[in-house]
Amino acid sequence: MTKSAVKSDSDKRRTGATSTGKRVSALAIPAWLPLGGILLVSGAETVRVTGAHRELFFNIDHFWVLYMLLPFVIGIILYGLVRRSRVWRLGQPIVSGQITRESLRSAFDDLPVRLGRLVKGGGGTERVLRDPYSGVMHLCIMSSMIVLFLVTALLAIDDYIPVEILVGPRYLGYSLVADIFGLVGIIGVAMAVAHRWVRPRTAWLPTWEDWLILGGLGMLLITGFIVEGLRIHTSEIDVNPEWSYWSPVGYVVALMFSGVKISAALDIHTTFWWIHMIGALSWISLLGYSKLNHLVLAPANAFLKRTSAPGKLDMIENIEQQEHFGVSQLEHFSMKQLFELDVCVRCGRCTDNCPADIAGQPLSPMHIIQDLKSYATAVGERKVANLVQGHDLNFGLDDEAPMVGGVVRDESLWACRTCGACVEACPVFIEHVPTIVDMRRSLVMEEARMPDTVQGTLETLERQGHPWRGTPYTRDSWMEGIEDQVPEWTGEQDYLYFVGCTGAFVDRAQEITRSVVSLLREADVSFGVIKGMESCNGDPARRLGHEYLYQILAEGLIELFNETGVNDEQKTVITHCPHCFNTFLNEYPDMGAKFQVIHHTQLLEQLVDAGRLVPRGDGPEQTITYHDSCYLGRHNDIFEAPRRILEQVPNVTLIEMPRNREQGLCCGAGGGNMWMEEQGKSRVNEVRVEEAVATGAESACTACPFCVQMFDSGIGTVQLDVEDDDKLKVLDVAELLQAAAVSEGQSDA
Amino acid sequence: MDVIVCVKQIPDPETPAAAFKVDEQAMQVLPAQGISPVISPFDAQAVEAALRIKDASGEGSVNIISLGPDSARDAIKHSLAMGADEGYHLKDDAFDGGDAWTTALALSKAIQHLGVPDVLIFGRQAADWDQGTVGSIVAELLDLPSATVLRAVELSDGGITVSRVVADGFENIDLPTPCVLTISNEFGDPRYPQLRQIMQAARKQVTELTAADLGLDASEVGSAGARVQMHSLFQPTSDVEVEIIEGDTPEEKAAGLVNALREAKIL
Ligand code: SF4
Ligand code: SF4
Ligand code: SF4
Repeated sequence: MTKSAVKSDSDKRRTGATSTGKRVSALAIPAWLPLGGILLVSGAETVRVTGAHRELFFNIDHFWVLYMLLPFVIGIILYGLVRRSRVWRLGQPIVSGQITRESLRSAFDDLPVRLGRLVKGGGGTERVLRDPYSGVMHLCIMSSMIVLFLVTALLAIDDYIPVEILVGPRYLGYSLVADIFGLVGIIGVAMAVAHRWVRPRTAWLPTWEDWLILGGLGMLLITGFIVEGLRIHTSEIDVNPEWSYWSPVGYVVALMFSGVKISAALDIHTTFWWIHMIGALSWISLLGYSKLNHLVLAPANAFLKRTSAPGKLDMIENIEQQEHFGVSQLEHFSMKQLFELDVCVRCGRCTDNCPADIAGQPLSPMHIIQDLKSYATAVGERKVANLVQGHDLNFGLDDEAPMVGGVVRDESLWACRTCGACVEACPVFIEHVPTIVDMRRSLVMEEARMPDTVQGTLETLERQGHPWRGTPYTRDSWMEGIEDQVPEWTGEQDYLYFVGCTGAFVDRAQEITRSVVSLLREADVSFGVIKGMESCNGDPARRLGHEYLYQILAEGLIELFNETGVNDEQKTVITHCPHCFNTFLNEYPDMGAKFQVIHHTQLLEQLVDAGRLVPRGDGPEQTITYHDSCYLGRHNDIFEAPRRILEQVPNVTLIEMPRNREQGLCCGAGGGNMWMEEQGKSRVNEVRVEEAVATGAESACTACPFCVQMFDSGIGTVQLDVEDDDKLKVLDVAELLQAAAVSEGQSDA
Repeated sequence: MDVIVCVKQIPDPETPAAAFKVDEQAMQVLPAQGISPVISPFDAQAVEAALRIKDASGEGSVNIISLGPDSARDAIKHSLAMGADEGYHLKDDAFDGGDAWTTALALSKAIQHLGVPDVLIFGRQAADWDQGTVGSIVAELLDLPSATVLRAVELSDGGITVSRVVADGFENIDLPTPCVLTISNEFGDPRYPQLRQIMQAARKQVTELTAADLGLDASEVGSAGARVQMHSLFQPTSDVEVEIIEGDTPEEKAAGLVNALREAKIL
């Protein structure tokens, strides 16, 4: 029996997916390059330049002013951050509980995972590197800042310790490295400026912050070179010209100043030195007041991000005793959620990857975070002031626009597919989905304000135990005519096949259900189905924000599982619905679930590997593109199992869409949008179908009954004028495998 | 303004036909597995109308009465969760097997028992048997003016202005209070209860009233007092024949369809 579905939080262990290859560890570059440079030069130049060195405060009087300013600057930075932290501390210690040892511990559980992420994602900026242009740009700036900081610090240290390190060839190597990284920094800044000027993404428009930070940094680097050039011009070039070659940029600058008289040059040097130093201190103060704070906050957020599966939503414990449901006020957010708002660097990656935004619908995750951030600045600070003055938290805030419905519009919250593309893309590890769902919770449970379609879905869930309003089918319609081929669950079998609502109530999905049954029978798997008694596991209610209804439905289903002997560590539940899969695997443990969970693609892959299902080679040649379901792929890291099944079917050629795996685009159904009316320029499923059609594949394969439906309806509009035979065909992996691996007589079961 | 709404708990009208069964012998509808009864949709709209009247008048109360078995409590609780004030459950074995007449009789007694309010509201019909008569009978029994099948209700000077749905349009009428109104689906969707209200409603007491409490004798209500006799109950079967009209082009198919319709004397 598979253990691939054992609950846990580390990514690879939960599933059979493999890693998609190593990425460059960016951290290594700034650390090794300078050291290598210094060693190289010291080796090459040992003989000639034994005395090379320079003074720390060449040509500068009153340099102590600098040391006086230093604590002041640190104070300014700390003041900014501490002031901000008062807003963060308005939030709840954890999502809905009290400050307990437990809740504190939850921020530090899985320490190795968190530390790994801190190093790789925070320090190594793993995600920034995904986009080559921005990756190189960011790497240039970051490495330059780190190296120049170290270089400056080293020079100062060297000056104050009795032994001289920076002398002779070592000094020259040092100069060269400093010069190179100064230049690298300038290149990075130029790239960043060009990025904003030449190809600003629609999602982000640069603001004063961008220009101040970039302009400031550019100025620092340039003045640094001017100061160096003037020092070389006035003290080095004539006396020890061979030293100056090791500061190539400074040397060029010195040549440009060569006509300037030494005395005048010394004056200019002093001026620029002070501009450079005061500028550096002012610039670094931005750390407490602008998005430059990501230098510190981004690694912190990499550490603080939840270690649970990304598709998991947190439970509202003791929901009946809560004073509010979900988030309608800043202080209802967790501290982490408020903190996160300040980490956002407005890079737009989340929005660029958001299916709703791509389809021209009214949602941009970046703007949600940014609008909340502005609100936290304006209103959060006033709440803090109220607290300080002993007023009620909301004193004098009655006229403010409400946060939910005002600052963040209802239609934005409803357009979210909870697909996690934003979370996956965010270089500073912001988790948009829980924040969006928390606000939905307040819309649904607190205010009962929702689109009619959502209300209808929730009412159907309440009354009929499934979300498919108006279905002509019953739970067992799919097995009409093959009842005797569907084994009833007895509690003795290894696997329970949980059909789910879609597999039961939607005719297209019933075909998938029958395929799965037929494959399980073909492979002689010991399984059963709970006939007639299944009910929804609550996923749609939960994603739609109705946590209470979710808990009622989940309790009901767990009770059924308890009564029928499913809720047992030795039993495994098979689902073909990734939404059921995610809920059972990641969310049901909170409700007391003990059983194992496996997605049909995982099981089918094992059965093919074990030779219990043998795809035949007599089918026609076909090209297939695989569409990743968000709840299987991004949320649960199952990318390869379905692909490997397809690869093992002879005559199948797999073609990838440009957006695949972690970067896969949602079909549009997630987050309850399966049951909603879409608003906006186009529909998400049409965008995705166009991408599939563009690959030239004959069929699109997926592993989710929602995706199949979304594709089918998207094809209806995208390929309106295409002959039926030439239209894209849509199949579940199980259907494709059934056609290839189940002999004819069996295939109706 | 004080309003009383009479509501009924019924088998979910969204029950798929395949799950809907009747016991022809006992002449009863069998509850569908896994599908719980719900408040009749028209009645939920009636509660919505009552709540809007109360809001518009800025004062008064909305009270709920329901006659039925234990499960009728849920219809009352749902109405309370929507925002109604008090609930009254007419519950007595003696009410079993009644018809529209006995129901209306019991309701009218209960209304008199509670005090006739400014406005009495019903759904246009219960979505199970679709008779649509209880509201009108209660109006007769209490000798009140009534307007049925309404799509809009507004307060006006000293009374109520309503808009009725009629075959060829709408009919606008002024009524004095007290009066009886029945609400149609055109009125619009009822509100979805807030979770806090659902929880408060769950804790609220519902007053139970028996036939005796209402001064009714067991012989007047339930099957004993019923004036309608049921002779048989069955699910009609319908035969559907499907003919696919062939044709190479949409035009040919359309022409084929027209011919077929002509042959069937539909055109
Ligand atoms: S979860 Fe998906 S749909 Fe929702 S904001 Fe993020 S990217 Fe957009
Ligand atoms: S939330 Fe993350 S991805 Fe989105 S703009 Fe902010 S930093 Fe970039
Ligand atoms: S989560 Fe599963 S059970 Fe619930 S609607 Fe989806 S398919 Fe049905």
